[in-house]
Amino acid sequence: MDENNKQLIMVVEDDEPLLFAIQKKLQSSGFRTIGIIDGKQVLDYLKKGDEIPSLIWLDYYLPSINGLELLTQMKKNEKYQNIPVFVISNTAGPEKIHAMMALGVKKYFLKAEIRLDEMIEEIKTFLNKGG
Amino acid sequence: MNQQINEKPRKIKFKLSSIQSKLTLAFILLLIPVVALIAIASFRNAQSLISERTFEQLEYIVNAKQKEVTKVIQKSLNQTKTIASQPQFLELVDKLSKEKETENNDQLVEYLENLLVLYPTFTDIIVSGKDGKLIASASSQALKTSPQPAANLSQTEDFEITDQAGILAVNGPILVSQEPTGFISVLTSQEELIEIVKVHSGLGQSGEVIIGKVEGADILYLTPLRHIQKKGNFSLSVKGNRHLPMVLATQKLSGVIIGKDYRGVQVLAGYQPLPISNWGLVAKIDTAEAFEQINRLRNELIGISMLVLLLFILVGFLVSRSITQPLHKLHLGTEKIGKGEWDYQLNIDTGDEVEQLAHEFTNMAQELKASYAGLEKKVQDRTWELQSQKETSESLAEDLKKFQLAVENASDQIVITDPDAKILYANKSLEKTTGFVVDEILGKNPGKLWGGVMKKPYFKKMWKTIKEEKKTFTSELRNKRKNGQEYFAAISITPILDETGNVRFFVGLERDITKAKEVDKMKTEFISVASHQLRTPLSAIKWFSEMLLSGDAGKPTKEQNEFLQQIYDSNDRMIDLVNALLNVSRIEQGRIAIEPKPTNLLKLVDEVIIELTPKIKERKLKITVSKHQQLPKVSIDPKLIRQVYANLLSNAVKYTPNKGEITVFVSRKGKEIISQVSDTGYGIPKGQQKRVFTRFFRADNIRKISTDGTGLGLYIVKSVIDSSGGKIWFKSEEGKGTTFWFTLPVKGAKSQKGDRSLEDLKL
Repeated sequence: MDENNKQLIMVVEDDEPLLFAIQKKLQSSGFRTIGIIDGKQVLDYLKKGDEIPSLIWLDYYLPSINGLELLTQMKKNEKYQNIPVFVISNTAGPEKIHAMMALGVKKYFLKAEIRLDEMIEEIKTFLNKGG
Repeated sequence: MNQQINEKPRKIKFKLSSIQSKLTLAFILLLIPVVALIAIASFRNAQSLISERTFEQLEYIVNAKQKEVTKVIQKSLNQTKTIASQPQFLELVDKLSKEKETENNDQLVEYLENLLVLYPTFTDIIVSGKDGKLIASASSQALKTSPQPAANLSQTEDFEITDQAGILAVNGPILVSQEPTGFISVLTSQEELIEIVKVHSGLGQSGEVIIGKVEGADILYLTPLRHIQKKGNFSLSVKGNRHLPMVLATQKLSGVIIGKDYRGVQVLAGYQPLPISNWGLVAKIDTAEAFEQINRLRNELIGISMLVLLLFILVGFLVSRSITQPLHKLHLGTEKIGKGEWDYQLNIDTGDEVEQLAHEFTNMAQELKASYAGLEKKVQDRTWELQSQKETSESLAEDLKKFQLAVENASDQIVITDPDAKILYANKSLEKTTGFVVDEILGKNPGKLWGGVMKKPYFKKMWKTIKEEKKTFTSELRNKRKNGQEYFAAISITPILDETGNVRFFVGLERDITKAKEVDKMKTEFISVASHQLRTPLSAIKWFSEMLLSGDAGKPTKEQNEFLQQIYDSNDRMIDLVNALLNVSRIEQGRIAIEPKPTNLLKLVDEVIIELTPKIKERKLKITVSKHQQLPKVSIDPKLIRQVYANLLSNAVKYTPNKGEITVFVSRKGKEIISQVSDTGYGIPKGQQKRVFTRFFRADNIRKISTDGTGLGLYIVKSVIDSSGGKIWFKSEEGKGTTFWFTLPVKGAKSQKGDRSLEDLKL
């Protein structure tokens, strides 16, 4: 498969090693990735409008911006309000999860529990379904 | 205290009002007239008696004497008559009278002298002729002594008695052949009279009989007077009122009289006239002597009266004393006893009512003593009681003070209200906590002061608990300080009930837990931060190990693979531990949310078993699931109950040796769904079964077999079951197996707000 056919996954993760691991795994699973450490940059990138990722892998607890906020922001723009978001986090209360779901988050995973290959599976399954 | 009455009673003072003097005076006043009366009466009686007697006696004597004198006189008369009638005499006289010369009277004289001898009482016989001239006399003295006796003679015609200068004479005619021839005059001696008069027996010492005659203005006493030594007749002038009796006698009066005699001395005299004219006879006795007896009697009577009076006075005095002395003793006794000398002896033995009284009094004193002693004892007891009560109340007061101080200064705010929540008391901490001052809040309702932040249902619940259910209400809430600042408080309100079970007070404790809440918040933040911080590297290790194991960085050698697997597994254990710790801390903070949904429990069981299948297969365990009848969906939080099944089943799998059996049985029993998970595993040692649901507990027997396990699983399971309204219990035997049961109410679990859910258990 050539590069451009590969789907673009945006990975938002503030921990560098984790970001590296996720991107590595995604890449070796046939995805193109774009990694963002600082949450604020997500909106910048999206605004730039280069390429809309097929999916956003979002770490909830970001230092600069809170996940919900980000999502809310995203929702405002029709261009990227429909981008599916998988939230991966260490912890989140049910309320927050509900709120996230309401804001378009498709799935929620606990970082420490999920294996990378399981994540890949989930992503693949989701996107193959038609995202 | 035994005091004898050895001391003499004090001198009984003479008080006009004392019984003593009263009695004595009464005695005297009574007796004086009585005695006087008696004395006077008897005296007068005696006096009159004696007077009478004396008078009588005198009368008798006077009469007797007079008779005697009269007799003498009569005798003289008769004798004279006899003489004068003697023929011889007559012859002689006749002869003489015829002769003119009287010298031849010798014969007659001789005759007359013979007659004198014959009649010794005659002192002289005088014969005188018709002419009155003396013819003869027996004594020659007649011529000398009697001046002119013939004069008298001549007038005599009959025999008569006269006195011639105080001498008794009988004169009479001499009749010769009835012819007066001459006169005879016989003079008698006074001897006879004197003899008569001399006898004054019955006239005592002072008495005498006297004969006297009146001569002109004088009295001539013819007999010797006893009291005046004078011989012969003498006259005493009638001086004053002397000689009264004699005077009366010579007046030819007779009787008895008290008068003065010739001495002027009062005499009692009986007087009689004598046949001779002007002659009187008096038998007298000095009144002094006569009435001597009376006087003596009078004196005696007076003396006796005095004596009697004195005696009576004395007796009266003594009697009254004999009465008053015991009374005085009694008085003294009452004084002493009144002062408390109960055993004081009264020593009254008069044998009368006073002694009786004294007796009774002593008895009374003894009774008093006893009751006093009893009373004293009672007083003592009571005093001791009161003392110990006082001590008790003092120590209670002390304690109370302590409590007061304790309450007043407690760091928690303590408020006491009446059953209507009006503040009766608040301690100092009120100010610290709420900002209000105690004085400004008394009588007010706390809800209107620093409460009221919470919503109505909250307060409704609070009231219901404390007022209706009368139970303590414990809660955390938000309150508002005086300055409007809100704060967190932990409160505990307890109703205090009286004997009938009604609310008397409410005691409310409040503590500002804002800090604690902050600490909690910090803890929460810490945990979330920690969990995030912990999990991130854990995730990193997990993923990188995973990729290495997957060959994403090149196929690992066998050994590399082994090591990597170890890393991966250990890491997973750490993740599990972190998860479990997080769950525990969330449970303890009450942050776990319960979101009940109608759930098919068996479905949960199946899901769990599916996840466990690899392990089950690996260990060659047999697992059976059965259900009992038609099980309804239960409104519970599936995530939580899933965890419960997951935990129990994973334990069963972990702690059952290969080829063992696990059974799951879910059934309905009345209002509950009972889930049962049994295994044929290692069991839980009896001695440790108590601690099964405690944190970090892992039984010794499985620790040896497997180091993998947090010891938190069952703790979490129990919390979930408890929060879901169910119960959990087990039965186990070491080496045989374990069975766990838990119930869930058919009506479901109550939803609970929480900001977290449980971390899933890695199976």
